[in-house]
Amino acid sequence: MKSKSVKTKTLLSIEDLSVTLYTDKVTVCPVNTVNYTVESGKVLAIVGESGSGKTVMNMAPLGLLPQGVTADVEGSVLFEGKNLLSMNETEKQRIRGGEIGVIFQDPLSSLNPVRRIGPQISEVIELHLGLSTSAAQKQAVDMLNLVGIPNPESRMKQYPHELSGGMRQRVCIAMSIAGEPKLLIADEPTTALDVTVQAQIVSLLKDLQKRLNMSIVLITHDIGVVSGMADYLAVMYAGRLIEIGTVEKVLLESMHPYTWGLLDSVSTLSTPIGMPFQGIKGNPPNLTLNIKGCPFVPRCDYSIDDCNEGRPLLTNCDDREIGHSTACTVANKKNLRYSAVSKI
Amino acid sequence: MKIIRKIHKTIGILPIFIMGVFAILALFGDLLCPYDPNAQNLMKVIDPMSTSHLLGTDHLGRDLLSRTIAGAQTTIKAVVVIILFAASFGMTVGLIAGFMGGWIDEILMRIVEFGLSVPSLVVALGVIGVFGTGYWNMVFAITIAWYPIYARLTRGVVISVMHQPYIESLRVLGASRLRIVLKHIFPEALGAIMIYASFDAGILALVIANLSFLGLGVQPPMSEWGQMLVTALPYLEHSPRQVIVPGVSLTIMVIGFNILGERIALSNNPKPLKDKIFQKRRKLFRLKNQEI
Amino acid sequence: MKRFLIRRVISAIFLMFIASIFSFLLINAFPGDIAPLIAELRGGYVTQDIVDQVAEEYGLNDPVVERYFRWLSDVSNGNLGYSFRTGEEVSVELKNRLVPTLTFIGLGGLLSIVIAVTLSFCGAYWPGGFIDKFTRGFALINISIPKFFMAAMLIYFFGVILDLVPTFGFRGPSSWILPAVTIALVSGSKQSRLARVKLEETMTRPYVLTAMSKGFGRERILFRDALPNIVPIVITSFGMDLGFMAQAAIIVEPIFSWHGIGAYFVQSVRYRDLAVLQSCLLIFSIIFINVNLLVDIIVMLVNPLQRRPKVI
Repeated sequence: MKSKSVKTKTLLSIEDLSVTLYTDKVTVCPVNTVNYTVESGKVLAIVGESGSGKTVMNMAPLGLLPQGVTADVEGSVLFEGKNLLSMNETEKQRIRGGEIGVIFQDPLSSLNPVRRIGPQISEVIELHLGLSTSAAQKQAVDMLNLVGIPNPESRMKQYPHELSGGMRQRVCIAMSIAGEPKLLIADEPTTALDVTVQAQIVSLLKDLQKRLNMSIVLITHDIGVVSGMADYLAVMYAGRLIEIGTVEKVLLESMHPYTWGLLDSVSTLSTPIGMPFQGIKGNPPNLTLNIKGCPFVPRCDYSIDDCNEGRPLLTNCDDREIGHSTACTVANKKNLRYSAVSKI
Repeated sequence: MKIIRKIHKTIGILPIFIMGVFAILALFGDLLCPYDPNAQNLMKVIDPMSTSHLLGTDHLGRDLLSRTIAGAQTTIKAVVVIILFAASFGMTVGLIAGFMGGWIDEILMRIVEFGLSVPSLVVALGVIGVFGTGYWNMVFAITIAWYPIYARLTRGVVISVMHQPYIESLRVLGASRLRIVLKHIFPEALGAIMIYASFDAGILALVIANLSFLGLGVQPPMSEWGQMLVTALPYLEHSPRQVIVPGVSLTIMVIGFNILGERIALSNNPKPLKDKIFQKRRKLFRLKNQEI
Repeated sequence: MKRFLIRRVISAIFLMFIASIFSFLLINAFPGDIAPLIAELRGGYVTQDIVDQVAEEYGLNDPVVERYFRWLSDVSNGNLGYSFRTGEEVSVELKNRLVPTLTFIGLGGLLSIVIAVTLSFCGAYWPGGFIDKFTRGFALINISIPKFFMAAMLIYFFGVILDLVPTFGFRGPSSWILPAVTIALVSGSKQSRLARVKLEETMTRPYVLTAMSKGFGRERILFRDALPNIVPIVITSFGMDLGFMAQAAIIVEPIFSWHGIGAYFVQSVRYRDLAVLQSCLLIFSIIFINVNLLVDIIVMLVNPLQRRPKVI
C-alpha cells in the first residue's frame, strides 16, 4: 500500500446538497442544503438522531440509495475536483470501491451469505487494482491480516455465518479498503456490535487511517466514538447541518442548543449515581412537512421570535480562526458560550 | 363509485373487465347464443366466418360462436362448483385437523400430504378410471384431487390463529369451542382460501379442459373447449379455425384468472413511482418550497 | 442434518405406503364392479356364472385386507398383473414404454431450464423496462395456454405449414423437438416467473448495496451475488415441476402418438383396464414421492447455510 502525501488539501467538497425522496405515499426531504468539506487524511464525524439524514447525505451522491426509491439530488459534490453528481454510471462505478470505500452498519446483512469471504474481498482487488485472481487472493490474505483477523488463510474459505460479529465487521472493513480508496465512509460501524467489540473496531479504524492516510467520514450517534477518533465534528438535525467545527471546539465550546442537549444526554463515569437520564424534550420533526425557520424551535429553551423567520444559516462563530460554524439565530446574535468543563 | 375506484387502484381494471365478461357469459350465455349450440346442420359443414355465423361452423354444422359461449358456461360453472365443493370439504378437514390436533391431526394430514404429493390430474384420472366418465364423475374426481390444498391451507391458518393470545382470553371469558371456531377462526380461513382460489381457478380450468381433451371429462354433445378442440384436431389442416377458437378462448380465460390472482396477491406491495407521477410530484414540491 | 434426512426418508416411505393403499382401495373397494368389468373386457357373453368364475379366479371374494397384502407381495416381486384388455404383462409393457416418457421429461426439463434462466435474467436486468414487461407477458401467456393447444399450434405451424419436423411417432431426435418444446415453454415460463420475483427480491438485499459500493455493475451483481442466493428455491421448484412434467406426459404423449407411460395410463382409464390403471397409479405416485424426496435432499446438500459454524 502506498502512503499518500501529507499535504492538507480538500478531498471532498459538498455545496448546497439537497436530496428529495419520492415514494408512492409521501415526499420527504431528508437532506436540506448542506455544506461541508473533508480534508485528506482527516476524520470527519457526523452525528445526529436516527432520521436526521446523515446516511442519505453520504449515500445519495454515490448512487447507493436502496432500490425502488426515486430521488432528486441537487447541488454539487466535488471529489478531487470532479462533481460526483454529473458523472455517468461507469465513472461512478470506478469511484465506488476504488476511490471511495463504504462500510455499512450491519456486517451480517452486508455480506453475501452464500459466498465465501475470500472472493468477496479479492474481487474488489481484482476490479480496482487490476491484479490477477491468484495475486488478488494473496493480497486479500494480507488485508485480513491488516484488519487483525487471525489465521487469514483458513478464513478465506469460510462463509459469513461462520464468523463472529466483530470478525464480520473486520471483514467488511477489509472489503472497503481493499481497493485502496482515498476516502472511507463508515456508516455507524459500531452500532450493531457488542460494547467490548466496539472499542476494538474503533481502534482498528484509527490505526488504519493513520497508516494509509485515508480520510474517513464517520457517521455515528455515539459521541464516545467521536471523541476517540475524529478531527472534525458535524451535527445534523432535521436534514440540516446545524453545527460543524473541530472536535474540541464543538464538544467543549458548542454554540447550538441541540448540541448542548446531545452532550447533556451522555452519561459519563463521573455522572452521579441515581441521576435521571437527560433527554431532549419533544420529538424529531416530521420531514414530510415544510418547516419555516429553525427546525429545532419546538424543543428549544432559548428560542426567540426571530428564530421562526427564515432558516438560520451556518455562520462562522469563531473570531480567531475558521474552525467553528453554527446555524443558530440566537447564537449568531448573542454569542453565547458554553463550557462542558464546568459540567464535569 | 368509491368502491370501483378502490378496486381500480388495487388490482387494476383489466382483470375486472375479463372477469366481468365471463360472468355475463356464465349467467346470460343462454340468451347470447345466436343458435342452439347443439343444433347440427349437415348442409353447412365447416362454413367460414360470415355474417350469419360469426365464427363459422364446425364439422357437424353447429355454430361455433354459440358453442364457444356454451363452452364458457360449462367451464365457469364447473370451476365454481368444484371450488365450492373442494373448499368446503377441504376447510372442514383443515378445521377439524387444526383445531383438534393430536392423532386426528396426524392421520388427516398424512392423507392430505399424500393427496398433495401426487398431481391433480393423476388422482382425477384414477377416480374417473374407477367410476367412469361423465360430467358429475369428473366434478367428483377433480374435487377429490383438489381438496388437499385447501385442507392444508385452512389448517395452517387455524393453527396460526389459535396461537394468538386473544383466543385464550375468549376461552376464559366462557366462549364455547364451537363459537370460537365459527366466529373467529373460520372467517380468517375463509379470507385466505378466497385469495388462493382466485389464482387457483386458472389451473382448475386447465385441468377440466385437459380431462375433456382426453375424452374423459365433459362428454359430447355438451360443449366444452377442451373437448371441442380434440374433436376438431383431425380437421386441423382444413379448418384450423375450429381448433384455434376454443384454444384461444381457453387461453384468455386462464390469463384472466391468472392476472386476477396475481394482482390480488401483490396488491399489498409498495410500487415504484411511474415517471409521470414522479414529475408531477417534483413540480408540486418545488412550488411548495418556493413559498418559503 | 442427519436427523432431518432420516425423518424425510421415513416420511417418504410412509407416503409410499399410503400410495399403495390408495391405489389398491380405489380399484378394489368395489369388487362388485370389477368382475363384470373383466368379463366384459374379455368379450363374449356375460352371465352370472362367468362373473362368479372371474371373481374366483381373481380371488375377489376374499377379505379386502388379505387381498391387499397379496397384491403387495405380488408387486414387490415385480408382478404387476396382466392387462384385462390385452392380457399383456403390465410390468413388461411399462418397461417398454419407459424410454419415450423419460426422453420427453429429460429433454423437456433441460430446455425448460434454459428458457427459465433466459426469461428471468432478461427481466431482472432492467426491472420495469420494456424487456421485462415483454418477458413477463410472454411467460404469462405460456402458462395460460393449455398444453394440448400449444402442441396443436406447434404441430400446425412447424409440422404442417413449414413441414420442418415430424409430428407424430417416437422416431429419432427430430421427432423429439416439438414435444420437448411444448412442455419446456410452459414449464420454463412457470419457473421464470418464480425466478424473476426472487431475483428482484434478492436485489433489494443489503449485500447487493454492498456489492454496488464496491464498484460493480448490475449485470455482474445479478450473476455473482443474486443468482447463488436463489438457487435452492429454484431447484426445489424445478424438482417439483419435474413431477408435473411427468403428468404433462399424460396429455402430450397421445397427441404425438408416442407410446409412453402417459399414453398407457390414459388408455387404461379409457378402457377401464383396472389392472393397468392400478399399476400406473402406483408407479406415478412412487415416482412423485421419490422425486420430491430427492429434491429435498439435493437442496439441503447444496445450501451452504446449512453448515454448522466452525468453532472459532
